Amino acid sequence: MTSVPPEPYLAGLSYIEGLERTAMHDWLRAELLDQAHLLAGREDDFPVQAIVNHFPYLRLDAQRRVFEILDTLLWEWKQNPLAWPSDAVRSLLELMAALAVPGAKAKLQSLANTPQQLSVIDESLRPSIFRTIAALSSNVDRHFWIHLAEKQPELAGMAFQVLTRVAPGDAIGAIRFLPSDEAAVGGVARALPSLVSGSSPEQRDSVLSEVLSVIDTLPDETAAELRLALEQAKVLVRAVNVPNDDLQVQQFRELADAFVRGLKLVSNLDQLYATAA
Amino acid sequence: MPFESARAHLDTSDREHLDSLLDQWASAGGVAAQAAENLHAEHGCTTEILTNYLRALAAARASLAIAPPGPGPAPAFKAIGSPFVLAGYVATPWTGLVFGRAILLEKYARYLSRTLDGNLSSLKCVDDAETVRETLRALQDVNEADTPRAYAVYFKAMRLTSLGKDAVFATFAKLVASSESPWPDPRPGADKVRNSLALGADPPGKDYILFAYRLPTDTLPKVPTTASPGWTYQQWYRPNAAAAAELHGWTAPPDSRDHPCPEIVHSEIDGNSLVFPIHLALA
Repeated sequence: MTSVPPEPYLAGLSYIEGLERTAMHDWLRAELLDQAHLLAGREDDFPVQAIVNHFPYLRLDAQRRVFEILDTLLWEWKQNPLAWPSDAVRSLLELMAALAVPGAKAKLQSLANTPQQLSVIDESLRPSIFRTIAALSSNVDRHFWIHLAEKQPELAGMAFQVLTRVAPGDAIGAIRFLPSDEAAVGGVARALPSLVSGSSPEQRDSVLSEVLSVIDTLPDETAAELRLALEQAKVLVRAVNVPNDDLQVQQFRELADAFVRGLKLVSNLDQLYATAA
Repeated sequence: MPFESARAHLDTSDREHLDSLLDQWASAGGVAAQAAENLHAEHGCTTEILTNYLRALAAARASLAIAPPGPGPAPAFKAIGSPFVLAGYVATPWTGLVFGRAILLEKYARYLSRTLDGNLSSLKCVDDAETVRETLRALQDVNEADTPRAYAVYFKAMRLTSLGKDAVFATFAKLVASSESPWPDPRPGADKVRNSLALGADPPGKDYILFAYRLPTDTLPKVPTTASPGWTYQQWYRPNAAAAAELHGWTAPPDSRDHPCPEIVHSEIDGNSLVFPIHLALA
């Protein structure tokens, strides 16, 4: 339990903590299906944020019960996916990610690795499934993501994003298999600058050099897109040899500066690189 | 007082039921007592509308009764209030202004992810949750035209994403030109935003995205009524006694060191009329 609950949460906390297992199952299911809204802040929202807000202040036994029920609801959905509206499934998956429900990652990875199970699930839910796995991933999951990038091109961008956090060295290698898929290339382009700029200062040049050498092996259009992403984030400054174009260069640099100022580095990269070194 | 006028229009049995309900709320304390107080101070709509609202509450007294333990009659209050959520006076003087809305960054990132998922075929973006949050951070104060190409999809997604669910509260700046942002520069911190907009249900210590937007021509800003904020938000909502003249509400900052902000309420809209760039209020 985390410190003193904010006063507005007290009624909701008392209600949740008083629920036995069956009652809690019914309540959580109703929340996910948008049939109940009992917590402060829930009325004008999807259910996830209000539950996330209250959760840290629950007694430990109630927290454990919430975990168990979410696990049960995941099982119920997998057994009968067509009975669940998409929004309710998204809420369930978002909640499992936000609360880091123990065991959820393995169960979802198993689902993702079982084509016959995955085939009966609405395709629009797949990003949510993988986003939940991503949120719960650590370095031990790097093979899952490398494999995914190869098997499902449309998710290669997300795989790269996860790898930049959990296994930066493998992320660079994964670019080699990047398909010419707009979603995948875009996903890599958005994460690539922070992969480079997030490395330790003494390693940045070598990381950039490695990234560029991998980019050089890609099809022209993909390579150009990724180089542009690095240039626009000022990680890579292209040599401009047009003598009368100083103003344009200056404008480009100002633009890039403005963007980089807003770019927050991936927090654990320095540590990961240091460990790798 | 509008409440007394409206109450006087009820027939005897409705009046007794309403009085009994509001007495029970008042003695229950907390949110219920504040809800009763808010109804007594209601000035945001016509007497006729308030009469209808009070009649509906009286008729549903059984489902609105306080029966602890539990979080209160939130679902019934919302259902009964639904026709009155946007029944306040039209906030005519403010229709052309740029409105502001603060949403927890982590919450909006989830909204945005749903848009990205639901429009996968057109948006071509399947970013993981942390990348969505970090990208939103990276886009603060960045004009759309100046944004690297890979991020353009986020602007498309934001235009498609709802700015809130059900009754959407928004603030605005009264004393500025109609083209100006409601957010002061330098940007306020998250605690100040949370307090001055009375976003009491949000946990403290979290970042907000500050949106600026215009209302579509078919979406009118309305003066909030007691039905607009739902049940749990009654504790942070206060009717504006001058609403009929001012044609807007005022927020009620729990910490009175921050000034109240003018507020209106409108129906759900997507982000198509957002005025970029987005800003952040950091914790």
